[in-house]
Amino acid sequence: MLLLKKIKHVFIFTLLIALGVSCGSEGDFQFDDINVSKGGSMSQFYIEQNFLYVIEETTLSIFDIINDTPSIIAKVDIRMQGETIAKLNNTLLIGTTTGVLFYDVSNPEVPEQISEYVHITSCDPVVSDGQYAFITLRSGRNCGVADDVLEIIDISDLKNPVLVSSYSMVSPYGLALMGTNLFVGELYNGMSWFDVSDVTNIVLLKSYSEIMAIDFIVNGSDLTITTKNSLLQMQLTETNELVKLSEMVYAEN
Amino acid sequence: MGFLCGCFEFIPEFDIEEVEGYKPIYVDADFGVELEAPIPFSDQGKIYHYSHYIFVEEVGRGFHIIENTDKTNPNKVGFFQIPLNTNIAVRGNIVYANSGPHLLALKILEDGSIITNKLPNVFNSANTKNIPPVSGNYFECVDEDLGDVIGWELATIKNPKCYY
Repeated sequence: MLLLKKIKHVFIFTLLIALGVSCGSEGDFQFDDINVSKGGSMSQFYIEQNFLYVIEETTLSIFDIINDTPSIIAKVDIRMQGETIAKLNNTLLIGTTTGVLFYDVSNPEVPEQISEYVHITSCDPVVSDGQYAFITLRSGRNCGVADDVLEIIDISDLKNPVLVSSYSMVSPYGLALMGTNLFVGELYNGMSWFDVSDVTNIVLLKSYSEIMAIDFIVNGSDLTITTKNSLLQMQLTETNELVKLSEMVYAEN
Repeated sequence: MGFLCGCFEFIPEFDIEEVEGYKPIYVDADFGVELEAPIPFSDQGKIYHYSHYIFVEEVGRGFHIIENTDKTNPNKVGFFQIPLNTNIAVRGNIVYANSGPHLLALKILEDGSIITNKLPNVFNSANTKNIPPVSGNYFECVDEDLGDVIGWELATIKNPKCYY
Protein backbone atom coordinates (compact mmCIF):
# COMPACT_ATOMS: atom_id res chain seq x y z
CA MET A 1 0.00 0.00 0.00
CA LEU A 2 2.83 2.33 0.91
CA LEU A 3 4.60 1.45 -2.31
CA LEU A 4 1.43 2.02 -4.28
CA LYS A 5 1.01 5.44 -2.73
CA LYS A 6 4.60 6.31 -3.40
CA ILE A 7 4.38 5.27 -7.04
CA LYS A 8 1.16 7.17 -7.38
CA HIS A 9 2.78 10.31 -6.05
CA VAL A 10 5.79 9.91 -8.28
CA PHE A 11 3.51 9.67 -11.30
CA ILE A 12 1.41 12.63 -10.32
CA PHE A 13 4.50 14.62 -9.55
CA THR A 14 6.05 13.88 -12.92
CA LEU A 15 2.75 14.42 -14.70
CA LEU A 16 2.47 17.81 -13.06
CA ILE A 17 5.97 18.66 -14.14
CA ALA A 18 4.95 17.74 -17.66
CA LEU A 19 1.80 19.79 -17.39
CA GLY A 20 3.71 22.65 -15.81
CA VAL A 21 6.03 22.73 -18.78
CA SER A 22 3.19 22.67 -21.24
CA CYS A 23 0.73 24.94 -19.47
CA GLY A 24 3.01 27.43 -17.83
CA SER A 25 2.33 31.12 -17.74
CA GLU A 26 3.48 31.62 -21.32
CA GLY A 27 1.27 28.83 -22.58
CA ASP A 28 -1.78 30.39 -20.99
CA PHE A 29 -1.90 32.95 -23.74
CA GLN A 30 -1.55 30.54 -26.58
CA PHE A 31 -4.09 27.79 -26.84
CA ASP A 32 -2.30 26.46 -29.90
CA ASP A 33 0.62 25.45 -27.75
CA ILE A 34 -1.34 23.46 -25.25
CA ASN A 35 -0.08 19.94 -24.99
CA VAL A 36 -2.34 17.33 -26.54
CA SER A 37 -1.98 13.60 -26.93
CA LYS A 38 -1.29 11.95 -30.24
CA GLY A 39 -2.67 8.56 -31.18
CA GLY A 40 -1.78 5.93 -33.74
CA SER A 41 -3.47 5.41 -37.10
CA MET A 42 -6.16 3.22 -35.55
CA SER A 43 -7.40 5.91 -33.15
CA GLN A 44 -11.06 6.68 -32.71
CA PHE A 45 -10.51 9.86 -30.68
CA TYR A 46 -8.75 12.86 -32.18
CA ILE A 47 -8.04 15.93 -30.10
CA GLU A 48 -6.94 19.32 -31.35
CA GLN A 49 -7.15 22.70 -29.70
CA ASN A 50 -10.62 23.07 -28.22
CA PHE A 51 -12.28 20.12 -29.88
CA LEU A 52 -12.46 16.37 -29.47
CA TYR A 53 -13.52 14.37 -32.53
CA VAL A 54 -14.86 10.87 -31.97
CA ILE A 55 -15.81 8.21 -34.45
CA GLU A 56 -17.94 5.42 -33.10
CA GLU A 57 -19.84 2.99 -35.30
CA THR A 58 -21.82 5.14 -37.74
CA THR A 59 -21.61 8.33 -35.69
CA LEU A 60 -19.19 11.23 -35.78
CA SER A 61 -19.39 13.24 -32.56
CA ILE A 62 -17.65 16.55 -31.96
CA PHE A 63 -17.18 17.87 -28.44
CA ASP A 64 -16.27 21.37 -27.37
CA ILE A 65 -13.70 20.93 -24.59
CA ILE A 66 -12.96 24.53 -23.75
CA ASN A 67 -14.67 24.10 -20.37
CA ASP A 68 -13.96 21.42 -17.79
CA THR A 69 -17.13 19.58 -18.72
CA PRO A 70 -17.22 18.89 -22.44
CA SER A 71 -20.32 19.65 -24.42
CA ILE A 72 -21.44 17.92 -27.57
CA ILE A 73 -21.72 20.37 -30.45
CA ALA A 74 -22.28 18.05 -33.42
CA LYS A 75 -23.47 14.53 -33.98
CA VAL A 76 -23.49 13.28 -37.56
CA ASP A 77 -24.72 10.01 -39.00
CA ILE A 78 -21.97 9.11 -41.47
CA ARG A 79 -23.98 6.13 -42.85
CA MET A 80 -20.91 3.91 -42.85
CA GLN A 81 -19.19 1.85 -40.17
CA GLY A 82 -16.50 4.21 -38.92
CA GLU A 83 -13.25 2.77 -37.60
CA THR A 84 -10.53 5.39 -37.49
CA ILE A 85 -10.28 9.16 -37.42
CA ALA A 86 -7.48 11.55 -38.32
CA LYS A 87 -7.39 15.25 -39.09
CA LEU A 88 -5.46 17.28 -41.61
CA ASN A 89 -5.86 21.06 -41.52
CA ASN A 90 -9.63 21.56 -41.52
CA THR A 91 -10.45 18.13 -42.87
CA LEU A 92 -11.35 14.98 -40.96
CA LEU A 93 -10.28 11.73 -42.61
CA ILE A 94 -12.58 8.98 -41.45
CA GLY A 95 -11.67 5.39 -42.25
CA THR A 96 -14.76 3.22 -42.52
CA THR A 97 -15.31 -0.38 -43.53
CA THR A 98 -16.51 0.79 -46.95
CA GLY A 99 -14.29 3.73 -47.74
CA VAL A 100 -12.73 6.95 -46.58
CA LEU A 101 -14.88 9.97 -45.82
CA PHE A 102 -13.63 13.53 -45.93
CA TYR A 103 -15.41 16.07 -43.73
CA ASP A 104 -14.76 19.77 -43.60
CA VAL A 105 -14.77 20.90 -39.97
CA SER A 106 -13.69 24.50 -40.37
CA ASN A 107 -16.91 25.14 -38.49
CA PRO A 108 -16.91 22.22 -36.02
CA GLU A 109 -20.55 22.79 -35.19
CA VAL A 110 -21.53 22.07 -38.77
CA PRO A 111 -19.32 19.33 -40.20
CA GLU A 112 -19.84 19.02 -43.92
CA GLN A 113 -19.01 16.01 -45.99
CA ILE A 114 -16.70 17.00 -48.84
CA SER A 115 -16.40 13.66 -50.58
CA GLU A 116 -15.99 9.96 -50.10
CA TYR A 117 -13.63 7.44 -51.56
CA VAL A 118 -15.53 4.17 -51.70
CA HIS A 119 -14.07 0.71 -52.05
CA ILE A 120 -15.15 -2.80 -51.28
CA THR A 121 -15.68 -3.76 -47.67
CA SER A 122 -12.56 -3.99 -45.53
CA CYS A 123 -10.82 -2.42 -42.55
CA ASP A 124 -8.83 0.64 -43.33
CA PRO A 125 -6.84 3.15 -41.35
CA VAL A 126 -5.68 6.15 -43.31
CA VAL A 127 -2.70 8.54 -43.07
CA SER A 128 -1.96 11.52 -45.25
CA ASP A 129 0.62 14.17 -46.04
CA GLY A 130 -1.99 16.51 -47.50
CA GLN A 131 -1.45 15.60 -51.11
CA TYR A 132 -1.78 11.83 -50.89
CA ALA A 133 -3.74 9.61 -48.55
CA PHE A 134 -2.40 6.14 -47.82
CA ILE A 135 -4.99 3.54 -46.91
CA THR A 136 -4.53 -0.05 -45.95
CA LEU A 137 -7.41 -2.38 -46.67
CA ARG A 138 -7.51 -5.59 -44.73
CA SER A 139 -9.89 -8.45 -45.21
CA GLY A 140 -10.74 -10.78 -42.38
CA ARG A 141 -13.05 -11.51 -39.54
CA ASN A 142 -14.87 -8.22 -39.01
CA CYS A 143 -13.62 -6.57 -42.12
CA GLY A 144 -15.36 -8.04 -45.12
CA VAL A 145 -13.93 -9.92 -48.03
CA ALA A 146 -11.81 -7.41 -49.96
CA ASP A 147 -8.24 -8.10 -50.99
CA ASP A 148 -5.44 -6.99 -48.71
CA VAL A 149 -4.00 -3.91 -50.34
CA LEU A 150 -2.34 -0.57 -49.81
CA GLU A 151 -4.02 2.16 -51.83
CA ILE A 152 -2.64 5.60 -52.52
CA ILE A 153 -5.19 8.29 -53.26
CA ASP A 154 -4.53 11.74 -54.62
CA ILE A 155 -6.48 14.12 -52.39
CA SER A 156 -5.07 17.42 -53.64
CA ASP A 157 -8.62 18.09 -54.80
CA LEU A 158 -10.60 16.92 -51.78
CA LYS A 159 -13.82 17.09 -53.71
CA ASN A 160 -12.51 14.48 -56.07
CA PRO A 161 -10.20 11.87 -54.49
CA VAL A 162 -8.52 9.76 -57.19
CA LEU A 163 -6.85 6.39 -56.87
CA VAL A 164 -3.20 6.69 -57.93
CA SER A 165 -1.88 3.23 -57.26
CA SER A 166 -2.58 0.03 -55.42
CA TYR A 167 -0.23 -2.58 -53.96
CA SER A 168 -0.84 -6.08 -52.65
CA MET A 169 -0.26 -6.62 -48.95
CA VAL A 170 -0.58 -9.69 -46.77
CA SER A 171 -2.48 -8.48 -43.70
CA PRO A 172 -2.10 -4.73 -43.23
CA TYR A 173 -3.20 -3.12 -39.93
CA GLY A 174 -1.91 0.32 -38.94
CA LEU A 175 0.44 2.48 -40.94
CA ALA A 176 2.67 5.50 -40.50
CA LEU A 177 4.11 8.13 -42.78
CA MET A 178 7.46 9.74 -41.96
CA GLY A 179 8.46 12.04 -44.80
CA THR A 180 8.76 9.77 -47.82
CA ASN A 181 8.94 6.65 -45.64
CA LEU A 182 5.83 4.57 -45.16
CA PHE A 183 5.66 1.86 -42.51
CA VAL A 184 2.95 -0.78 -42.62
CA GLY A 185 2.16 -3.17 -39.79
CA GLU A 186 1.10 -6.62 -40.90
CA LEU A 187 0.89 -8.38 -37.52
CA TYR A 188 1.97 -12.03 -38.00
CA ASN A 189 3.46 -11.08 -41.36
CA GLY A 190 5.77 -8.50 -39.90
CA MET A 191 6.47 -4.89 -40.73
CA SER A 192 7.21 -3.38 -44.13
CA TRP A 193 9.12 -0.19 -44.82
CA PHE A 194 8.54 1.54 -48.16
CA ASP A 195 10.02 4.51 -49.94
CA VAL A 196 6.99 6.38 -51.29
CA SER A 197 8.79 9.30 -53.00
CA ASP A 198 7.25 8.09 -56.25
CA VAL A 199 3.68 7.17 -55.38
CA THR A 200 3.18 5.41 -58.70
CA ASN A 201 6.08 3.13 -57.95
CA ILE A 202 6.72 2.66 -54.25
CA VAL A 203 9.77 0.64 -53.29
CA LEU A 204 10.00 -1.88 -50.49
CA LEU A 205 13.14 -0.93 -48.61
CA LYS A 206 13.00 -3.60 -45.96
CA SER A 207 10.72 -6.20 -44.40
CA TYR A 208 10.97 -7.15 -40.78
CA SER A 209 9.36 -10.56 -40.29
CA GLU A 210 10.16 -10.52 -36.56
CA ILE A 211 8.34 -7.24 -35.84
CA MET A 212 4.65 -8.16 -35.62
CA ALA A 213 3.57 -4.54 -35.91
CA ILE A 214 -0.02 -3.43 -35.36
CA ASP A 215 0.10 0.36 -35.12
CA PHE A 216 2.49 3.30 -35.03
CA ILE A 217 3.00 6.82 -33.80
CA VAL A 218 5.46 9.06 -35.60
CA ASN A 219 7.28 11.80 -33.72
CA GLY A 220 9.89 13.52 -35.86
CA SER A 221 12.29 10.74 -36.74
CA ASP A 222 11.07 8.50 -33.91
CA LEU A 223 8.70 5.63 -34.47
CA THR A 224 6.74 4.10 -31.61
CA ILE A 225 5.32 0.73 -32.56
CA THR A 226 2.89 -1.49 -30.78
CA THR A 227 3.43 -5.07 -31.86
CA LYS A 228 1.81 -8.34 -30.91
CA ASN A 229 4.47 -8.73 -28.22
CA SER A 230 5.92 -5.40 -27.30
CA LEU A 231 6.09 -1.65 -27.26
CA LEU A 232 8.96 -0.97 -29.60
CA GLN A 233 10.71 2.35 -30.15
CA MET A 234 12.84 2.90 -33.23
CA GLN A 235 14.56 5.86 -34.82
CA LEU A 236 15.35 6.70 -38.41
CA THR A 237 18.93 7.96 -38.43
CA GLU A 238 20.35 10.61 -40.72
CA THR A 239 21.99 7.84 -42.71
CA ASN A 240 18.50 6.37 -43.25
CA GLU A 241 18.88 3.39 -40.99
CA LEU A 242 16.15 2.24 -38.68
CA VAL A 243 17.66 1.54 -35.28
CA LYS A 244 16.01 0.13 -32.19
CA LEU A 245 15.91 2.43 -29.16
CA SER A 246 14.08 0.14 -26.75
CA GLU A 247 11.61 -2.67 -26.51
CA MET A 248 9.21 -3.26 -23.64
CA VAL A 249 8.00 -6.83 -23.92
CA TYR A 250 4.36 -7.03 -22.86
CA ALA A 251 4.56 -10.53 -21.39
CA GLU A 252 7.45 -9.50 -19.12
CA ASN A 253 6.00 -6.23 -17.90
CA MET B 1 -34.12 -7.90 -22.42
CA GLY B 2 -33.51 -11.33 -23.93
CA PHE B 3 -31.07 -12.06 -26.72
CA LEU B 4 -32.22 -15.06 -28.68
CA CYS B 5 -29.74 -14.83 -31.49
CA GLY B 6 -29.06 -18.56 -31.40
CA CYS B 7 -32.68 -19.48 -32.00
CA PHE B 8 -32.25 -20.62 -35.59
CA GLU B 9 -30.20 -23.60 -34.53
CA PHE B 10 -31.49 -24.15 -31.04
CA ILE B 11 -34.53 -23.07 -29.10
CA PRO B 12 -33.41 -22.67 -25.51
CA GLU B 13 -35.40 -24.14 -22.69
CA PHE B 14 -36.10 -21.53 -20.02
CA ASP B 15 -37.80 -23.77 -17.54
CA ILE B 16 -34.61 -24.84 -15.78
CA GLU B 17 -33.54 -24.30 -12.20
CA GLU B 18 -29.77 -24.31 -12.32
CA VAL B 19 -27.35 -24.25 -15.21
CA GLU B 20 -23.78 -23.29 -16.00
CA GLY B 21 -23.87 -19.91 -17.70
CA TYR B 22 -22.60 -16.35 -17.75
CA LYS B 23 -23.14 -13.85 -15.01
CA PRO B 24 -22.56 -10.12 -15.55
CA ILE B 25 -19.97 -8.30 -13.44
CA TYR B 26 -21.22 -4.81 -12.67
CA VAL B 27 -19.44 -1.61 -11.83
CA ASP B 28 -21.12 1.18 -10.05
CA ALA B 29 -21.36 3.95 -12.63
CA ASP B 30 -19.45 6.35 -10.39
CA PHE B 31 -16.86 3.88 -9.19
CA GLY B 32 -13.57 2.95 -10.55
CA VAL B 33 -11.65 5.89 -11.98
CA GLU B 34 -8.32 5.70 -10.24
CA LEU B 35 -4.60 6.19 -10.65
CA GLU B 36 -2.92 3.01 -9.52
CA ALA B 37 0.44 1.32 -9.33
CA PRO B 38 1.49 -0.48 -12.53
CA ILE B 39 -0.28 -3.70 -13.42
CA PRO B 40 0.88 -6.35 -15.91
CA PHE B 41 -0.10 -5.98 -19.56
CA SER B 42 -2.75 -8.49 -20.51
CA ASP B 43 -4.89 -7.27 -23.41
CA GLN B 44 -3.06 -4.26 -24.78
CA GLY B 45 -4.62 -2.10 -27.47
CA LYS B 46 -4.07 1.36 -28.86
CA ILE B 47 -1.09 3.55 -28.07
CA TYR B 48 -0.75 7.30 -27.45
CA HIS B 49 2.00 9.82 -26.92
CA TYR B 50 1.51 12.60 -24.42
CA SER B 51 4.34 14.88 -23.36
CA HIS B 52 7.11 12.46 -22.30
CA TYR B 53 4.66 9.65 -21.63
CA ILE B 54 3.38 6.77 -23.69
CA PHE B 55 -0.05 5.38 -22.85
CA VAL B 56 -0.98 1.83 -23.77
CA GLU B 57 -4.64 0.86 -23.71
CA GLU B 58 -5.64 -2.14 -21.62
CA VAL B 59 -8.81 -3.00 -23.49
CA GLY B 60 -11.89 -2.16 -21.47
CA ARG B 61 -9.99 -1.32 -18.28
CA GLY B 62 -7.99 1.87 -18.78
CA PHE B 63 -4.42 2.53 -19.80
CA HIS B 64 -0.86 1.89 -18.72
CA ILE B 65 1.32 4.93 -18.08
CA ILE B 66 4.87 4.65 -19.35
CA GLU B 67 7.41 7.31 -18.54
CA ASN B 68 9.47 7.83 -21.67
CA THR B 69 11.87 10.71 -21.05
CA ASP B 70 14.68 8.34 -21.96
CA LYS B 71 13.43 6.54 -25.05
CA THR B 72 16.07 3.90 -24.61
CA ASN B 73 14.74 3.08 -21.17
CA PRO B 74 10.97 3.57 -20.82
CA ASN B 75 9.45 2.80 -17.44
CA LYS B 76 5.99 1.70 -16.56
CA VAL B 77 4.97 4.01 -13.72
CA GLY B 78 1.26 3.49 -13.26
CA PHE B 79 -2.12 2.43 -14.45
CA PHE B 80 -5.10 4.70 -14.98
CA GLN B 81 -8.14 2.56 -14.28
CA ILE B 82 -11.24 3.60 -16.21
CA PRO B 83 -14.01 1.01 -16.41
CA LEU B 84 -15.21 0.08 -19.92
CA ASN B 85 -12.65 2.36 -21.50
CA THR B 86 -11.36 1.84 -25.03
CA ASN B 87 -10.33 5.32 -26.21
CA ILE B 88 -8.61 8.32 -24.68
CA ALA B 89 -7.28 11.72 -25.64
CA VAL B 90 -5.47 14.18 -23.40
CA ARG B 91 -5.28 17.96 -23.46
CA GLY B 92 -3.52 19.93 -20.77
CA ASN B 93 -4.29 18.22 -17.47
CA ILE B 94 -7.57 16.67 -18.60
CA VAL B 95 -7.91 13.11 -19.81
CA TYR B 96 -10.96 12.51 -22.03
CA ALA B 97 -12.06 8.90 -21.97
CA ASN B 98 -15.03 6.86 -22.96
CA SER B 99 -16.47 4.70 -20.21
CA GLY B 100 -19.24 2.55 -21.59
CA PRO B 101 -21.75 4.99 -23.12
CA HIS B 102 -20.34 8.00 -21.22
CA LEU B 103 -17.63 10.53 -22.00
CA LEU B 104 -15.52 11.37 -18.95
CA ALA B 105 -13.35 14.44 -18.55
CA LEU B 106 -10.86 13.55 -15.82
CA LYS B 107 -9.08 16.59 -14.49
CA ILE B 108 -5.90 15.89 -12.57
CA LEU B 109 -5.34 18.48 -9.87
CA GLU B 110 -2.07 19.60 -8.37
CA ASP B 111 -2.67 17.57 -5.21
CA GLY B 112 -3.08 14.48 -7.35
CA SER B 113 -6.80 14.14 -6.93
CA ILE B 114 -9.06 13.62 -9.91
CA ILE B 115 -12.19 15.58 -10.67
CA THR B 116 -14.55 13.58 -12.85
CA ASN B 117 -16.92 15.42 -15.15
CA LYS B 118 -19.27 13.14 -16.98
CA LEU B 119 -21.25 13.64 -20.15
CA PRO B 120 -23.64 10.72 -19.84
CA ASN B 121 -24.94 8.49 -22.63
CA VAL B 122 -23.27 10.13 -25.62
CA PHE B 123 -22.03 6.88 -27.19
CA ASN B 124 -24.00 3.91 -28.50
CA SER B 125 -21.68 0.97 -28.64
CA ALA B 126 -21.65 0.07 -24.96
CA ASN B 127 -24.72 -2.05 -25.45
CA THR B 128 -22.65 -4.77 -27.03
CA LYS B 129 -21.22 -5.30 -23.56
CA ASN B 130 -24.63 -6.45 -22.46
CA ILE B 131 -24.27 -9.88 -23.98
CA PRO B 132 -21.75 -12.55 -22.90
CA PRO B 133 -18.50 -13.05 -24.84
CA VAL B 134 -19.37 -16.56 -26.02
CA SER B 135 -22.62 -17.53 -27.74
CA GLY B 136 -24.54 -20.73 -27.06
CA ASN B 137 -24.95 -20.08 -23.37
CA TYR B 138 -27.55 -19.09 -20.85
CA PHE B 139 -26.85 -15.87 -19.02
CA GLU B 140 -28.22 -13.83 -16.20
CA CYS B 141 -30.09 -10.96 -17.86
CA VAL B 142 -28.47 -7.56 -17.42
CA ASP B 143 -30.17 -5.33 -14.89
CA GLU B 144 -29.19 -1.79 -15.85
CA ASP B 145 -30.11 -0.52 -12.39
CA LEU B 146 -27.09 -2.38 -11.02
CA GLY B 147 -24.68 -0.32 -13.13
CA ASP B 148 -22.67 -0.86 -16.30
CA VAL B 149 -21.42 -4.33 -17.12
CA ILE B 150 -17.64 -4.50 -16.92
CA GLY B 151 -17.29 -8.17 -17.82
CA TRP B 152 -18.69 -11.66 -17.54
CA GLU B 153 -17.91 -14.67 -15.38
CA LEU B 154 -18.91 -18.29 -15.74
CA ALA B 155 -21.11 -19.32 -12.85
CA THR B 156 -23.94 -21.57 -11.88
CA ILE B 157 -26.97 -19.42 -12.52
CA LYS B 158 -30.49 -20.03 -11.35
CA ASN B 159 -33.56 -19.90 -13.50
CA PRO B 160 -31.97 -17.98 -16.41
CA LYS B 161 -34.20 -15.83 -18.57
CA CYS B 162 -31.65 -14.91 -21.21
CA TYR B 163 -29.79 -16.92 -23.81
CA TYR B 164 -27.29 -15.94 -26.45
